[in-house]
Amino acid sequence: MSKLLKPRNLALILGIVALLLIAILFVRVPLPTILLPAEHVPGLKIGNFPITNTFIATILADIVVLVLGFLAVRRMQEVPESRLQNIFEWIIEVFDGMLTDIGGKEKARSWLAVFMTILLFLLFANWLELVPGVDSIGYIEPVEVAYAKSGVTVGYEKKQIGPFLTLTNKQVKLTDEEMARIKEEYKEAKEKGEEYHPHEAKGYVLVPYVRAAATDLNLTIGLALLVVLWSHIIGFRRLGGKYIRRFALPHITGMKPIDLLVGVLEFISEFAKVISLSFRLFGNIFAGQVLLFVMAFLVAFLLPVPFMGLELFVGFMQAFVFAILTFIYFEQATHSHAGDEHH
Amino acid sequence: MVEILSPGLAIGLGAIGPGIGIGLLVMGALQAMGRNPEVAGEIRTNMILGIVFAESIAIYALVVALLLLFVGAPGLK
Repeated sequence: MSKLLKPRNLALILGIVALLLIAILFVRVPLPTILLPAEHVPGLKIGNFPITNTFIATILADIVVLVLGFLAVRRMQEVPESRLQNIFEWIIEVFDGMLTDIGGKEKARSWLAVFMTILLFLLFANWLELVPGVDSIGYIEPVEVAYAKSGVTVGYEKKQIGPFLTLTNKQVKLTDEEMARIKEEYKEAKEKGEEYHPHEAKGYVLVPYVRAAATDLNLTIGLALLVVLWSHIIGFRRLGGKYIRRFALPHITGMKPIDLLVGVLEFISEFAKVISLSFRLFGNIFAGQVLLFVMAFLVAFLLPVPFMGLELFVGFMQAFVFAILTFIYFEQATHSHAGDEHH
Repeated sequence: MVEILSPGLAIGLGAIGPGIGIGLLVMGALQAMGRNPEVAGEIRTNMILGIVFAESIAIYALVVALLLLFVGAPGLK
């Protein structure tokens, strides 16, 4: 307690409390527009394929993993002196041990690369949402255009600060008549083949250039489909024709009707795998993003910090769960079925 | 009215099960840790994994709630 009352520390605490009060009373940031589908970044296209802001985040995460990997193995030494090589060796050793516990040495070694790739990629993809500027730097679009494209009805007024354009916290809501008018104008513009521009913008919304990759269902479902299909291919290659028996004609109880039902259940559970893998990752990261938005909107100072710590944990945990489930699915697929051994 | 109530009900009812589940899970893990503290680290790792799986069921409910909130269900409005 006496340490706390030293003049320097006391000033620090009082300053923080004063800043907190000021933040609560005066600083109000606009609540970002929360949209489920990823937004297209204007002017960026590969052929006919529009680039979304989550796609940019995916590429960024890829680059981070690749650069870190290359830096770690640039000057490989048997007794590593570079810190990065040390860290990477430690990480791989920890997870190699974990996988060996689950699936044995042979399986752990053969799929460690897949496991680590998924883990590191998702880790950096998830942690990207904590980087300042992600979700908050973007281009400013009239709310009318946003409504026509994705049904956003709340915009904000904009303000020029130096060379930068920003949104103020003054909310602008579209009325029912305006919505109907915008719909008509949008239809007209579409028939003429032009892009829709409102005559005068009532409010504006921010469309970020970068948005965390896993907040887009396309990434998570794609990754889950890849992993589950891959597990089937591995199972088929290792077990051959025996692999199909677990779906078609399993011998578990010896009673035909029940075994048939087990096969059907096994078949359905393959689809459940895709759904649960993809929605777990998507839901956690999307909910985390919304949580961070709302906390920054309530009090912009100090309050979001513990939630950022939580997101750091959730981001790692989800990446880890996705990777370890991948490994477990691979292991299960190559696991000879109980019906094959007579006991 | 319905469009305000439905996301709330979706997440509220959906969080009951995982809440009970996480409680039971942590109870079991803590008892096990108390009985043999030498494997506490291993139990903690598995406990966190289990919590994540139970929690993800609440997250499904949350996804449904967010869908209802931001996208809306056909016929709701």
